[in-house]
Amino acid sequence: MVTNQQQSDEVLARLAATGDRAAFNELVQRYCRPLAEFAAARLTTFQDAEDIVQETFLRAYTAMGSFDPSYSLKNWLFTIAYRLVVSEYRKKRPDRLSEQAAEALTEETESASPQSSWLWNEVRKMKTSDHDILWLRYKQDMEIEDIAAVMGKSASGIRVQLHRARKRLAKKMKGADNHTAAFQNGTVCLERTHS
Amino acid sequence: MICQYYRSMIEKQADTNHAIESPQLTAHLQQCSACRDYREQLTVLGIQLQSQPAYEISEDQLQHLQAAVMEQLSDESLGQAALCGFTQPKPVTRFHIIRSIAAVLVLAAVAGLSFRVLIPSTSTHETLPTPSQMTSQFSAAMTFPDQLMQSEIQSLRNDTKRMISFLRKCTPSSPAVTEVLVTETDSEEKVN
Ligand SMILES: [Zn+2]
Repeated sequence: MVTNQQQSDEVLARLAATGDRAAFNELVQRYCRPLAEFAAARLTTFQDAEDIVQETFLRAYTAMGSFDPSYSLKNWLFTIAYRLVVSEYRKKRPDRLSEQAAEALTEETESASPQSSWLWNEVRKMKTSDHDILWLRYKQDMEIEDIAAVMGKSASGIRVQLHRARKRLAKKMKGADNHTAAFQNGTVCLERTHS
Repeated sequence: MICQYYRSMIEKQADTNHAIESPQLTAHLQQCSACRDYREQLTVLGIQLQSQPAYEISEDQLQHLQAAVMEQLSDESLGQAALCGFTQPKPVTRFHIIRSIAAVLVLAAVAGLSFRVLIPSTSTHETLPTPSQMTSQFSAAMTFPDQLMQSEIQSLRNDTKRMISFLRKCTPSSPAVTEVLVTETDSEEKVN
């Protein structure tokens, strides 16, 4: 007999649409961590990420019946989460906050997170959409077309943005590598890899 | 110029999870150290981005969150899932039945009234109406049911709007919703 762990996302989604809680639970086991880490990396606190993840799964569960199995379930979940993250970020955006609160948020977003490496903290200083593209590409191995679908943008636009973001990041990496021991958290050093 | 061409090829390789084999690129890389460095730099950056933590949640946090997610799936959300499901027929509620009966009664009343106005009985009208009287009677007969029909159509429109908004909530990937969210994303870009 095939267990839920052996089933594909799409089969589990079909089962969940009929009210099968065990099938939905398996999907939660698979995607809770990546969704939480995506939201936390973007919104900087685990508390914010918790709300996003809960809301993502609740929306997915209630809409599971209308989920199109020809679409990737992973992309669908990330699409829901991404939209919630964007909406949450907008609520907190600096122009809607008092001067003091806006300053605190900017500091919070730009300061080094203890859970993040130097490199990802540098990514967080970039545009939020740069961060999202890099995260989905390198933490979820998503292809350009998938990232475009999640973010509701054109594939060509995502490609150009990814190339530019990588270039800026490579420059920063080179600079940091030449002058400081910034890769304390890292496993590979640019110079060392060359040799 | 030629390096630019090969570099865009290197970028394409970095964009995908599938290996892109190109004998031309291999040949160019053998003789161009600048492009070799460029590829090396992109490869290392990719490895760093994959391996370094962006934000890692602990096992305790994960288990707590998974439990919270499953707990929130109340019976109500389970019912909603069935309602949106393609395998489940839409249930007919008492509200639908009462509405249907009321609509039938209203239409019957309108039909009866129209009949009386258009074909008056000879006992109430001893003489034949003049052409102008006939015109005013006809227009009265036509406008009265028309108003009723308008209100009925308006009520159906409101029902349809409610249904569409409910379906949109159920299908976040529908083109209409995507459109709204593209606007949201655009406004976020402006913030940045
Ligand atoms: Zn070259």
